[in-house]
Amino acid sequence: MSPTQWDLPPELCCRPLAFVALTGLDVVYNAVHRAIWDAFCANRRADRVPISFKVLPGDHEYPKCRTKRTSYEWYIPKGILKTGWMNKHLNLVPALVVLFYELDWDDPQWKEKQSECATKVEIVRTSLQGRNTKVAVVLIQKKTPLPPGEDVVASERASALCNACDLSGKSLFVLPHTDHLVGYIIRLENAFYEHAQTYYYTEIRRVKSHKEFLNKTTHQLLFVRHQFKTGFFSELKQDTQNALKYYRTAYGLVHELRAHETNMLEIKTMAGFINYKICRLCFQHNTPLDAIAQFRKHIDLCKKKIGSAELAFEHTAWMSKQFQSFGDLFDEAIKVGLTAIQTQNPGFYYQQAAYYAQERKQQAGQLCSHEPNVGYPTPDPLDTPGAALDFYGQRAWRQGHQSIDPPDPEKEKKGILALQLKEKDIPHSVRVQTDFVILILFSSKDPVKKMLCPSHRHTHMVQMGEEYYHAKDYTKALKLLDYVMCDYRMERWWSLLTSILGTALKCSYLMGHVKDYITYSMELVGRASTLHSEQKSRIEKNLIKVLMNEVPDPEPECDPLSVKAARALWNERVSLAGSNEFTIEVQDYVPFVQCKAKFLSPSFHVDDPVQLNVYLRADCPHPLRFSKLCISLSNQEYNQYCVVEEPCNSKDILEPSIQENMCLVPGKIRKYSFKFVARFEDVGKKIEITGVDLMLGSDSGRCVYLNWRGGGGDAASSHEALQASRSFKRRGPASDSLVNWDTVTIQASTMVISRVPKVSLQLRHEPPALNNEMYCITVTIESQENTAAKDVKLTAGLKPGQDANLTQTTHVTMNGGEMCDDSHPALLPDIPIGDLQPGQKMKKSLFARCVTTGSRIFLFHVSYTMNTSVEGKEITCKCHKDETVTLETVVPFEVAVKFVSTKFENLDRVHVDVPFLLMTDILSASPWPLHLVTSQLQLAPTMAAIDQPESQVEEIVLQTGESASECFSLKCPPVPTGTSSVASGQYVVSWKRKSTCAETPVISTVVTLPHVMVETIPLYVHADLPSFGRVRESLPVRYCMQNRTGLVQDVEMTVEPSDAFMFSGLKQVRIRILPGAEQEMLYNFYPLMAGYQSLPVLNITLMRFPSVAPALLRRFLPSRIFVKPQGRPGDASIAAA
Amino acid sequence: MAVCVAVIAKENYPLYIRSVPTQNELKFHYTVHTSLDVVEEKVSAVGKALADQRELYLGLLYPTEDYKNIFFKIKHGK
Repeated sequence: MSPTQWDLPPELCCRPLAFVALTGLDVVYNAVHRAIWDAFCANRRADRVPISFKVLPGDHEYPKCRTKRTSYEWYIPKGILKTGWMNKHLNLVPALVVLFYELDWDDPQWKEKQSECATKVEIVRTSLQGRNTKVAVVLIQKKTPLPPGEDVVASERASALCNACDLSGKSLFVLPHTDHLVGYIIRLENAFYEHAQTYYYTEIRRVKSHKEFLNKTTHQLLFVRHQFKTGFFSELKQDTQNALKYYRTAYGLVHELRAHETNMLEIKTMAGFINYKICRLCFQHNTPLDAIAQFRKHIDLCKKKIGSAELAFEHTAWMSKQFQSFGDLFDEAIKVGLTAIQTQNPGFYYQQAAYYAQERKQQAGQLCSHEPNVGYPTPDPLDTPGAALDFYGQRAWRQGHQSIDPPDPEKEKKGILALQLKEKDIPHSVRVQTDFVILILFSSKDPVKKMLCPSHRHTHMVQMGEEYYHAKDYTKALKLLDYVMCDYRMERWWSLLTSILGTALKCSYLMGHVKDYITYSMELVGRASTLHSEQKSRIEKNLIKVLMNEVPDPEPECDPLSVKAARALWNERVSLAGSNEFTIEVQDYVPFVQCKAKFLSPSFHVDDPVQLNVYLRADCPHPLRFSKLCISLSNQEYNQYCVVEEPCNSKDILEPSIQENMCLVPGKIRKYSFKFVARFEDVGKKIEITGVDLMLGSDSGRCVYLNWRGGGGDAASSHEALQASRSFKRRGPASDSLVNWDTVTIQASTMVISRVPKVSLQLRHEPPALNNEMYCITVTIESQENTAAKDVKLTAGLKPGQDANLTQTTHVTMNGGEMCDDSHPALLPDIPIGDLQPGQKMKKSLFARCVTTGSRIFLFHVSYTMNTSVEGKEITCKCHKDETVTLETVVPFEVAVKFVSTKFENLDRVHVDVPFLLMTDILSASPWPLHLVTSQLQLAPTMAAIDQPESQVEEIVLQTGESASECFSLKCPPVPTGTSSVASGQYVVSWKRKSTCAETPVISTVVTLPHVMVETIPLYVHADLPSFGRVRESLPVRYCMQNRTGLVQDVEMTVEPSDAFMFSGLKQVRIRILPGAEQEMLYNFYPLMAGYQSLPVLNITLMRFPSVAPALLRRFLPSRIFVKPQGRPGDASIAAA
Repeated sequence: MAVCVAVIAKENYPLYIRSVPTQNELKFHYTVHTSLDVVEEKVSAVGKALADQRELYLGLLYPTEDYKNIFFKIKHGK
């Protein structure tokens, strides 16, 4: 019994091709024949007709055809399908035999050759006696044939040859051996294909014709056989649709057969074959769902057909093969383009195949464990007279037997025994190997092959791991199980995790792997394990043994031989010194000790001790002693303070309390508190718990460190914490009165922060600040410390980190007597203040000058050092206190400037050498009173004061909203021709806040005066007249006209009459004024009415400058005068006037 | 006959799992675990549309050799 007994025969699995035999070709010695043969069989592309060619000698003996049965009446079939049948029709009985013969139409020895050819045909025919196989003749000719009908000799001789050979015209071909050989060959083989199809058609008809002779009682097997045969012939004919139909019928018929123990295997074998054919064709027809449905039906129908109970392993082997073959078909289909989905993919079938294979092994274990003295029966009941069985699926010792009871019970027994003994010898590692190949296939990176979904893959890997375990390949088993373990742990499938941990523990025990053994044990006794407490107890006891450097008890259900070997390994481990210290990173497991570490606060002041608690809880069934607990912190200097250790070599004098302290009682939470003083250098830094180590065992025996990274927790704890936070219902009231485990949160890091300062910082100032002023902020520092604050330093000024421009436009100083400029910084760092005694106050003023308006933040930072004691330890603390203030800067006042004429009329331009007024207006915008110290007019060279300008606003105090005005009389000296505007100069206002002290510097604000338009006029006119007149009294008026050109000017002047005045003088005159000269005109006005009166209008027309309008000149002259009423008679003063 | 009932959390771990007492309870656990991928595929395939209709029956997942796996999706909370 070979391991391949259950494999499907290759002739079943291949695609049937029409079989055509070629004879008369000498492919070894004849180059022409060789070329013809190559053209037939070399490089056959998919578009060539599906034919399988074979070169056979001309006198080849074909399988003999048995004499045709004329009646089935007494015929009882011995089986369903003969083992040789498929091969016979694929490779032995051709559909067509082609005889190749070298003969040209004009061959001189035509007659002889013709009869030789006829003889050869006859030999073939004789050999095929009784078969429907066709015969064809191909004449290999050297000459290219003429077109049909033109060569009369050819057609004559062709028909003669046909007659001689008893061939139809369609079976004679000509193959000219010329350049286009392949073309001729393709035409030839297409013709052969037609002949072959005809042959298979007749075969189908022939098989079908038997049906009428069959009866249902005795010929049931033949119904199946004939349907299978028609299906197979249809496939050979490439009629796959009909083939599928016949196979489906055959499948139905095979299940109608009377099944009993003796023929069960035959029925299943045939059902498997037919099912394979159906599924294969369904995939080929691209109807995968049909294939899957058929396969499901097949499995449903067959899975209960176990047959002989003593040979149950045969059934599982067969089932396994069914799934595997279907998986292969599915996989093939996917390779040529079918898309698999998660629910339907080959992996699923492979997995089932593996599952049955496992079951087969188990059954084999149960059924084939014979006593060693049971020998293999002789003669071998499995020996067959021929090379193989006659019929598929029959027993070697009773071939052809079709009745219900075995013919010879003794033979039957021997046969079964032989099968069982054979099964026992099957090397299972072979199966594991093939499974492993499958695994590799499905876990490969190729996405097409990655068809198994993750959990399927896991299950598969578990199966394989267990296979390896049974095959005693523990290393491979562990490798697979370890991989899956992680995922089950992550997915929280504790039942599955426990199951594979159990296998893994056995593996590690049998291999004597101490570390693995400890790792698996500690998880198996922990809370993730679903084992019963007695099992846990056993494992824990073993674990304790290992910790004490003793040999653990073997795991149950281990192979006794292996256990013996394992014992030796463990004894070796015990004697082995040195390698007895292990560190197990438990973070990724669910160990039997849980650990949570927390700092009591997220931050500690440097003058408070840092406190942290470590909580431990054991989940194992028995109390557990440990010998050391140590916490590693990011700053290793603190580690020495965070250790709980058994005083070494002093076991006898141990106080009971300490001993209890080092013992973890199941379910009870233990708390270990640690306290240490942080170092002064760590202020502002983080302290982290980098790990927690729990030492089990002892230095003398074995010592195992359980190491938790960070503040503890394991693979399950984060989820547990989440669950706890979600649900109100706890696992009952906390048994431990101190803490509820679920509410303990891990806090693995803390900050060391500086001591709380005990100083006060008070700021006094008067906001807002005024632009450019020396703004005073007074800071009062008062110490409330109990001891002297040493090395007090003040940092004051603009707070860093604001807009960069503010640094350029803010300047600070501590000296209020000087004016800040660009050389002063924005921030004064670390101004030493000295020491502050308890209760002492210190006052400092900061002067800030803000060049631009807007808001700024000012910082006042006081730092100092002081000595204090923490936990009896003297430490020097640095303390600091910050105060900030946001300061707004505003402009102190606005300055408005305007130019007016001497008549206070607004001027848009001034005239050369004509006096005008400059008016300034200072409007206070400050919320605080402003003290104007002085003002100054700094004229440009293009401007001249008429008299010495003096400040008119000196020492004035402006309240908010008040304004101070000044007026300066100016004129513009002659300007070069072409100048249209001139600079006026600057106006400087010196001021300070009213509230500042005398030594505060005065701020000078410079206002640049606007440019003014300037014009030159040819004639200037002004009037001299008294400030008022009196009714009926003479009022002398003098007009002066000045020629401001270098030309002699003719001027016409008229005085218009007025109702209010009479006057004497020239009413209309024309005068000539020399360059630079001045002409005076005298008038006596005689007012007639009192009040403001318009003076008679003087019109001056410049003959040379008609563009200068009289109105322009009139602006220089007064237009009105106040006339007093006439005095009473007797009033001397008036009379005198 | 129902042979195994399992309630699975949305993170795919078992909240409750009970099966008829047989020798191989573990096999049922494996079967349930193996089905989860299919559940996930089904749920994601029908997606939102299904969630809106509150259609909770996921139907026959896939037939294994001996058992049929039928799943319901249950909404819990929001």
